[in-house]
Amino acid sequence: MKVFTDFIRKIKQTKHFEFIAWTVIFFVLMMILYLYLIHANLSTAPKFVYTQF
Amino acid sequence: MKKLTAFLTALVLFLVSAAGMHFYAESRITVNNNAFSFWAIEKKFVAREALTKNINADTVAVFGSSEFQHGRKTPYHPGNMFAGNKFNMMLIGAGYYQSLSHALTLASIGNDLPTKEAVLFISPQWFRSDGVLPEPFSSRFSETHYIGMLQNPNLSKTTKTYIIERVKTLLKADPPALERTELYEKVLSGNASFSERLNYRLYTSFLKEKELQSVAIRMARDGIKKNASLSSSEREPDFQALMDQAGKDGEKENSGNPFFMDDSSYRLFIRPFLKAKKNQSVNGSYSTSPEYADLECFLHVCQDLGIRPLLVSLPVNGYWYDYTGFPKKERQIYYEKIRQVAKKYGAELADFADQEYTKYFFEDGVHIGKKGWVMINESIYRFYQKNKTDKTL
Repeated sequence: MKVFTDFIRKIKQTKHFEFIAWTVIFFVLMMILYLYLIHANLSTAPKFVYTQF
Repeated sequence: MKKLTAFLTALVLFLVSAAGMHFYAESRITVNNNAFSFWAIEKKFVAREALTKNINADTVAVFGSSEFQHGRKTPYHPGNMFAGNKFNMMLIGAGYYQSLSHALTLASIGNDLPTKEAVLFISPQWFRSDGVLPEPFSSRFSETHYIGMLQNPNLSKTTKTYIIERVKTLLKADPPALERTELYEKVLSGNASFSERLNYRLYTSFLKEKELQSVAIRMARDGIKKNASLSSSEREPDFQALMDQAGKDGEKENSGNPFFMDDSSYRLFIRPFLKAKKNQSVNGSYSTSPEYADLECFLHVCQDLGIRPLLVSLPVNGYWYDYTGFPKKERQIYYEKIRQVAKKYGAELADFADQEYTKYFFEDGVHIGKKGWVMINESIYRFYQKNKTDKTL
């Protein structure tokens, strides 16, 4: 746990912290949107229940 | 400024990641064995690119409906009977896939079939008075196949017009999809504005990517491996031995239901409704239906693209249909009409009308079972072998 908190503190102290944080946020948002669009059922066809003849 | 730079950096990273996913999926969908062909799943049927990339010199395109999803765990399903064999059937179809959907798909992929052979399983239940209904048709509609059909230069204008008009009528159940098909037509006939062309480019690229990724993921989930053992055997299955075994297995799985169905199907789908079904179909008929014109459309596509069709005329379960009161005479009229259509277009016909009372031919009231699969698989295999021999002469 200590290693992790030290690591976070170190990152926070770097002068590029804000830039890295925003880049990660934008990237994650773009990936979420992309993966949603790729995998969501976007069909607009009316739903029907398959029944055997 | 910092946020803008961060956004642009994230965009570059995103584009690199998306490109990586694209190339990975693309390399994943071409399989070196026949597992993909016999894989019967909706995501595959609608994905044009995945289908065409897995067609080889021993592929016969086989179009049908829900029977492909039945009996998959038995040795009689084609995927098991021909496992490891060079010969492979590209199965396309599930419940509510009917002649028009198949005509559309064949019009889209027909030029990519080296064997120039297509098989169509014809279910009598397709030929109800309404034919295919708008809601099920829209749910099975593939926009990439529609574009493939529009782009096919070998398809005659008459066939194309018929498909377009029928699709327009049936897609009224799905207005956004109908609107998009109209856009595709406009763009591909060269009458679109710049913004319409741009819209078409962006949307179709997205659609193709969506299909590609969906198929790749589903393949991984269902264990369809890119590099499994090669399907190279040319050994013919022992159809007689399989037929004998099918009879024995049928007896084992039927503890006395009078319709010679599998007990599991009988208990689940038939027994609870027995009383209600008795003489329910005394006015049943398959002799008048728009499906006949759709079937002819499928055969027109075959003619336009130089494809040899084999029509597999499936029977109904005679024991069950007699119980529901569906007139025998009407069934005979239907079988005869199918014979006439096949004759008119010079299509080969695997006619199983005389198998209505073959025990264990069916799994339930309508789906073929053990003996049904053995007999039909043999007829398709003979069709493939005969055409192969004709080509070498």
